[in-house]
Amino acid sequence: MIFINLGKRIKNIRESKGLSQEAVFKGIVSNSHYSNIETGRYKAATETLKLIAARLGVPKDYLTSTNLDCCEIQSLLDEFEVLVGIGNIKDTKLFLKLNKEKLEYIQSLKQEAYYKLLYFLHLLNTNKYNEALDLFVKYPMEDIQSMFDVKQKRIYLYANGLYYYLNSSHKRSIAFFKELLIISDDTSIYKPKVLYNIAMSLYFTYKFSESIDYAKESKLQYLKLHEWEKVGDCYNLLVVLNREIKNYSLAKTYLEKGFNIAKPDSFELKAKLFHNASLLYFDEQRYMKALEKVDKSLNIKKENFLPGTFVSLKLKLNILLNIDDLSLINKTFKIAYDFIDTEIQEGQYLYIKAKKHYFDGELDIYESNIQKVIKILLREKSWKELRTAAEHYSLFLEKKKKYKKSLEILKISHFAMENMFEGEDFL
Amino acid sequence: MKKNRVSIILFVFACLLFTSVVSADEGDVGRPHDKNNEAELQEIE
Repeated sequence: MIFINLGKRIKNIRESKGLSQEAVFKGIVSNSHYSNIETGRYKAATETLKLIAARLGVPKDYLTSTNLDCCEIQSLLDEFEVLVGIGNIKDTKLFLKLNKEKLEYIQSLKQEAYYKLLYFLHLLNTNKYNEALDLFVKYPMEDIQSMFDVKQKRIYLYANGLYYYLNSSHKRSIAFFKELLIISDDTSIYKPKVLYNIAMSLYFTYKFSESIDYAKESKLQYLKLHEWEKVGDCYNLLVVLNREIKNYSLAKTYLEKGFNIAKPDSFELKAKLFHNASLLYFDEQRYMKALEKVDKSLNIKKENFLPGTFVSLKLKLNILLNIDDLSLINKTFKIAYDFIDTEIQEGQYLYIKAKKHYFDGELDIYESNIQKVIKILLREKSWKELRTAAEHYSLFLEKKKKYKKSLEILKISHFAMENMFEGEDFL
Repeated sequence: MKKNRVSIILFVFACLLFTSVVSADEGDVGRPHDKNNEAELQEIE
């Protein structure tokens, strides 16, 4: 176990310094022997490791004393853990700057792994998502985690839960978070967050009733901590969840509670609530009201540089398909186009365009667009949208009496639905 | 033959409608709670 992690450590340093394997092993060991050291098949002799350390330009202890914990490093890690837990970015950055040299080469594999976990959480605190995800991929910790004590194990589970959430692998995320709840104590600062994140993952895996339970529990915990903004997030999530299970009156109640708890400067919360208020009006086919609310959401997002603009523009376009305002819909299409960030969004955008052509009776353009949409959404595994797009096209074909093709497309819709509820891990 | 096809399609559509429990439009649930308290309030570079 230790050999594998030592091998990974050697490989990581070599790659980070842009060195080839040959540049490291030449004159020290044979090609195959070195290769076996990196993959962890052999334990290298201490003398060999010292030579490799010199060639890599790292302290020799970094390769020879990997199972030796250091007291000074431990107290630094304890301090780092507190700073990350509080989330004070300025103090954390100062701490990292002051201790840069000491933390650069942490000899103990266990202590280094823990440092990386805390650093991952620090990167999330500073919104550096890509860097955080790269760090996680570079330092897999499945083997080392068995050496962690309970406190470290909690951080390990929490970080993994977040990592898989951010990778849209919601089932795995839920598994890590639920394991964390089992070993977590009630006073943990992470508990309400974990409950909330499980509720979010359950929402994305369409387990709405179970998600409601977690969202409610999270809300209670945040209420106890007087974290009103987070309570507002829970209310907002409960709006969406109750809408999904078609409990509209409860959804409206939570919407009201959300607005009541929002402070004048709770811009992100209000933007989300207005979006979801618009959805509720949309469901009731009160399109003008829906338009008014989604515009409020979009304005708040624009003024405060908040995320989620595309999702609101998509809703606005769907509303406008039901309102006869050609210039507004064309203008909104143009704006939405500039906010396309991912292939999935491109597919979603084209789907609304296809529906517009359908309503306008431009059936040839509709058909070529919807075929493109189905290809994109299938490739991107965007099951929810694929299901509705394929169903739309299948119905169109059925009306055209193209039964064979209609059935073929209907099977795609069915396939999408099966994936929505069954297969979820695509990593 | 044609009749059969129609009935198959109608049957599958009925099944689809019955199991269609997920709405097509997305709610805005925002981001997960992935930051610790003070980080939420600070100006992030």
